[in-house]
Amino acid sequence: MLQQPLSRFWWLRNWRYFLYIVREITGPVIAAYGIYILVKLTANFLRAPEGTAPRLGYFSDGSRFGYYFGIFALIFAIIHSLTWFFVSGKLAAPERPFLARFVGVFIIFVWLGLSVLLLLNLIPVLQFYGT
Amino acid sequence: MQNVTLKIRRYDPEKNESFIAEFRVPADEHTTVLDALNFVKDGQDGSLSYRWSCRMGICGSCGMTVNGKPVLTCQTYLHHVGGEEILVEPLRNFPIVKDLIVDIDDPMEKMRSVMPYTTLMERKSLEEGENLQSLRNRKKIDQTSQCIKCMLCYSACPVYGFDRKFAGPAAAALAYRYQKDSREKSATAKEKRMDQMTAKDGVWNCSFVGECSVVCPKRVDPAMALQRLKIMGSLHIAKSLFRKRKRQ
Repeated sequence: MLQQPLSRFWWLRNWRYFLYIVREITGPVIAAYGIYILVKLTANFLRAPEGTAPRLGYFSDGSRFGYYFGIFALIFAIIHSLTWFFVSGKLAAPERPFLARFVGVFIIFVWLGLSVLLLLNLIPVLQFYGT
Repeated sequence: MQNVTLKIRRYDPEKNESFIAEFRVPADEHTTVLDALNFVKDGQDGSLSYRWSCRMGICGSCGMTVNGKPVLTCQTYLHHVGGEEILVEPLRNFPIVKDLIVDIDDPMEKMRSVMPYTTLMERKSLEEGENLQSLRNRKKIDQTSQCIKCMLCYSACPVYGFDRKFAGPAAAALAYRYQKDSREKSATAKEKRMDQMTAKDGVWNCSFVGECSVVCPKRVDPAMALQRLKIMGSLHIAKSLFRKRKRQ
């Protein structure tokens, strides 16, 4: 019998395979950003003068790298999140496609709503972050 | 009526040779890829080998790769595929036996291993009647019951292409169908099935590419079945650990 190994370029066969690879790449990028934030937070905590409360701002040193890395990671986080919000709908309501779509859309609206509240500083988390 | 060129990827096992053979076939709006293959076999090259049976999309025998997509050739019209040249290849991810025939023993064995039958139904006498199932319970297994074992999902799955030990979409859909069947009364059988699915090469290898559900001709949505089995599997593992701790 003639074996058919998986081609190295299988992910270029159609746009769904390609999107899957993009989604998989978002994982390590977001993880790298998480590590970057932890390192920055730790450094700021250690740098804080004795007797003062450490600033937890991670943009406070005006790092351009951190700023662009953050935007890059945010785009990847959005791609990753959207994929899973729609899957959540399908898992919550299998065999009921209308309800599945409703759940997916509902989760996206909750996510957008929370994001807007955070951006408008209506949730007090942001007070810890400098600009 | 127009003429279309059928390019067929063939394999001769005696010479261990793979090659492309070209044939011209007449086609109109009703001609399927299977019709074209039959035309070639009947009139041009009787040695061309491929599987087919019902020619109406219910037996699952005629799965092949047409212009890069795994399809049922009896359901694929030439004018839908488009173009003057159509490439027909055997299903990917399977060893080729000859021409367009592939060896599907592996996924068949995987499907057998998930115990695709109900066990220990309530034993009733003839007078008491059948083991009934409500419409509501029947609906829970409707979608995954539609599987015709055509193997298009395995052909589309890059995880299976990379790792042949992976249980795969159709086996998972079958396992889900029997786990959810209200007539399955045996707790032992359900546990065995979940043990099988939560084993090393079970559902966890699925990374939700989703292409299996896209190519499925019966809309079984095996990707959904796999993700549901992951949830059921997690609960199953948690219960097993708790039971082990209780026994200790």
